[in-house]
Amino acid sequence: MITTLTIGFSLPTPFDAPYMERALLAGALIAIPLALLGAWVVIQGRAFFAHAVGVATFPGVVVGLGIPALGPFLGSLLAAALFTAVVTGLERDHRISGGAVTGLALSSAMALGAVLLVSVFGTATPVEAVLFGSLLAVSDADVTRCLIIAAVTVAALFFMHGRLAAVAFDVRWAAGAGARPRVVAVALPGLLALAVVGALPAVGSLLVSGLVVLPAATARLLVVRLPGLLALSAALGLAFSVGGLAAARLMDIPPGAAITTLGGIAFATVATGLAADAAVRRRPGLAR
Amino acid sequence: MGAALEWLADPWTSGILRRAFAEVTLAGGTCGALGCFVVVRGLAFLSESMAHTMLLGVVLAFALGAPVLAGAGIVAGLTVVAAVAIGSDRRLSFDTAMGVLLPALFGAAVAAAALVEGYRGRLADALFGSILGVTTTDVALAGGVALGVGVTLGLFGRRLELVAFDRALAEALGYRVKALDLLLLLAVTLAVVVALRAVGNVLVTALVLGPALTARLVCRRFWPMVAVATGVAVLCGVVGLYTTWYVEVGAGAAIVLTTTVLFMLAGALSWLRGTHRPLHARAIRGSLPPE
Amino acid sequence: MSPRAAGLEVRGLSVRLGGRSVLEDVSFKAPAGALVGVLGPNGAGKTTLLRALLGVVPFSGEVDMTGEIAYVPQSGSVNSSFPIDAFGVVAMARYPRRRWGWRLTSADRALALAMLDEVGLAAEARRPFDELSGGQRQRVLVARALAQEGDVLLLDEPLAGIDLPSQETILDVIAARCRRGALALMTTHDLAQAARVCQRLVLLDRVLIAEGPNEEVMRTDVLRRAYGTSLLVIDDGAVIVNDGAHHDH
Repeated sequence: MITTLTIGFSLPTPFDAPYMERALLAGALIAIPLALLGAWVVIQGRAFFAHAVGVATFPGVVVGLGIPALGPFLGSLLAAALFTAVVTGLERDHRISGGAVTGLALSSAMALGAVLLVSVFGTATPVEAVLFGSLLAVSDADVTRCLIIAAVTVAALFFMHGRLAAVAFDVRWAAGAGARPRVVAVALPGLLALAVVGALPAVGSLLVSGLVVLPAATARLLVVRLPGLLALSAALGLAFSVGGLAAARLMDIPPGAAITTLGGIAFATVATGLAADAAVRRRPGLAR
Repeated sequence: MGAALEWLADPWTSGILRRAFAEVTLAGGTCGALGCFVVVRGLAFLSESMAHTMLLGVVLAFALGAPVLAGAGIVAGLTVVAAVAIGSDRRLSFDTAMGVLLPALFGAAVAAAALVEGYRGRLADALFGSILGVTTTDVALAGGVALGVGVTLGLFGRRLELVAFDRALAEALGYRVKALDLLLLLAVTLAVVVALRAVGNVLVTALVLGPALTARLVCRRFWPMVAVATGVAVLCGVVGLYTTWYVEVGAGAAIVLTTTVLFMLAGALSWLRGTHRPLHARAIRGSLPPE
Repeated sequence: MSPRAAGLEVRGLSVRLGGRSVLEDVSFKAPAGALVGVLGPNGAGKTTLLRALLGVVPFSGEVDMTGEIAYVPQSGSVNSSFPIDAFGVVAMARYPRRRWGWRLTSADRALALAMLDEVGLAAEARRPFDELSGGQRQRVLVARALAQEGDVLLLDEPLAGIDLPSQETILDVIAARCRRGALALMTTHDLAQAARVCQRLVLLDRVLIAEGPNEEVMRTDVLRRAYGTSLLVIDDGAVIVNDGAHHDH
C-alpha cells in the first residue's frame, strides 16, 4: 500500500493513515460493482430506483447505529431489501407510472429516519456521516464486505450476462427464448441494493447513486458496444471513487460529495467536449 | 367537550404556529394541486431532483450574499434545462439525465456547504426544513405563489390537462405545447422552492406526490383529483403541525409521515372496497377536450 | 443446417387474460414447408396465439409441435438505445436456451455472421443498431430468429411499415427455410400480401373463423365473418379491408 508520495513541495498526502487506506480500499472495491450495475441502470432507465434505494437505507442505518446488536450494515441491508421488495411490487411498470410511488416511498423513508434520529436514538448519531459518507467510518469489516460484494456481483453479472442483455434489449423476444425476465427483474435490483449498502460507510445514503449512474452515463457517451461500456464504466467508477476520496481528505469535505462532484465534472467535460466536437464537424469551413 | 376544544385551540395561541399553519396551508395546497400534474406526467424524479439541486443555489447565494430563493430558483431552472438537453441524447434518457444531475449538483452543494464559512452546521436545516422558523415574509411569499398558481390553473388548467392526457390532440388543436410544458415546470419549480421552507429539500417530494397519489386512489376524474389532493395536502400539514405541537417530533418529518399514513389508509380502503385501481397514470381520465 | 420436418397441430387452444377470453377453442394444423398467414381484425388474438405457442402466456388446450421455435416479435418491443451493433443482436440468439451465460464460441459467431449475410447486411455488422433504418433493423431481427436455428418460425407482423426491398429479402429467406422443411407462422394485417405469399391461412376473431389453403379462406363470405363492416366489396369482386395497423394483445 502506498503510504508516502513525494511531491516537490510539502502537502499532506492523502494516503498516509490506516483509516485512509481502508477508505481507499473499500472505495475502490465497491466502485466496481456499483459502476457495472450502473451500466444496466442507465440502459434500463432505472436511475430513480437507484437513488431511492440509497436514500431508503437511511432509517436502517439510524436504527442499526442505535441498536449495537444490529449494527448499521444489517440495518441498512434490511431497509434496502424491504424497500426493494415493496417498490418493485407496487410499481407495475416504472415507465408508465413515472415513479410516483417510488418518490413517496423514499420521502417516507427519509422522514422515518429523521423521526427515529431525533426522537429515539438521540443526537449522537453522526447525521452528516450517514448521509454523505465519512472517511473515518470505514472499518476492516466494511472492507471485507466490499470485497465479498464485489466478488459476488461480478460473478453474478458474468454468469447472467447473455440473459441480462437479451432482456434489456428485447424483453418479448427474450421471454420467448427462455431468458426468464422475472429472474432478471429480481436479480438486478437485489444486486444493486446489496452494492449500495456496501458503499454506505464511505459514500453515504444520499449520494451513493452518483457512483452508480455517473460512471456509466459518462462511459455511454464514449462507447458503442456493451462489453466496452461495462469495462469503461468500471474504470471510471474506480477513478471517481479513489479521486473523490483523495479530494475529500485534502479538502476536508464529505467523501460522497467529493466523489459525485468529480463525477459530475467528468460527465460535463465529456458531454460538452463531444457536443463541441459535433458542432465543429457540422460547419463546412471548419470540417476536419 | 371543553377540553377537546381547548386541545384543538392550544397551538393557535402561538404566533409561531399560526404562521406555520398559514405557510403549510399555502405551500402544501400548492404542492398538492400541482402534484397531480407531476404524478400524471411522470415527473416525480424531476421534482425530487430539483428539490436537491436547488441546495446548490441556496449555498452559492448565501456565499455571495444574494437572495437565497433567487439562487434556488435559478439552479432549479438550470436543472430542468440540463435535464432536457441530456435526456434528448438518444443514448441516454431523461431518467439518466436526472440520475446524473441530482448527485452531481447536490454533491457540489454539500461540498460547497462544507467549504463556505458558517454554512456547515446549517445543512440539516436546509435538508429537513424549519417550518417553525417561518417569518411573515415567507408566508406572504407562499401566499403569492399560491395565488399565482391558482390563477395559472384557472386560466390554463384545461390546456395543461389536455397536454397531460392527449398531447397529440393538444398539438392538433394548435396549443403551444412547449410553452405549456414550460409553464407547468415553472409552476412546479416555484411551488417546490416555497415548500423548501416548510419541510426542507429532502421531504418536499412527499408533499408533491403523497396527496396526489392518495387522491388518485379515491377519484376517477382529474379535477376532483386536484381538489382532493389540495385538501389532503392541507390536512397533512395541519395534522403534522398538531403532532409536532404535542409530540416530540420534527415538524417536517411529521407532515411527511402523515402523507404516507393517509396514502396507506386510502390504499387499504380502496383495496378492501374492491375498487382497487391499478396505480399507474392511465387509471385517471381527463375531462372532455375543451372548445 | 440439416433439413428436418417441422410440424404444428393446435387443438382447442383457449387463452384468458385479465378476466377476458382472448382466444377460444382455436384448432388448426400447419404442415412442414408451409408459410401460414394468421389474419384477423384488431384484437383478434393473433399476437396472443403466437405468445401461447411460445409458452409465454398460459393456455388451455393442446399443442403438438415438432421442432425448435424461433421468434420475431412485433417491432417496437426493442430498446433501440441499447449499446449494441447489428452483429451483436444476431449473436444474442446463440446463447444456449435456458442456460445463457456469457461466452460465445467462434462457431456461434460464424453462424451469426452467416445469418446476417443471408439478409444482406454483412457489411453493416458493426453498425450500431440504432443507426439502422427500419427495414434494416427488421432484417437484423429476422436474422436473429434464423440464428436460433428453429424449424418453427413465429413472426409477428414482420413486414409492417418497412421498405419493399427489405420485405422481399425477408420473404425470400423465410421461403428458403420453408423449402428446407421448416414451417412459418406469420401474423399480418395485409390481406393482399398474405394471399400472395402464404400457402395456408388461419383467420381469427377470438375464435377460429376459417383455416386452410388460400382459396378456402379468401372468400367474401368467409372474410365477412371476421371483418364484418370493415369489409368493402366492389362490383368486380375486389375487396378492401379498412383496418388500421394497431397492436393487438
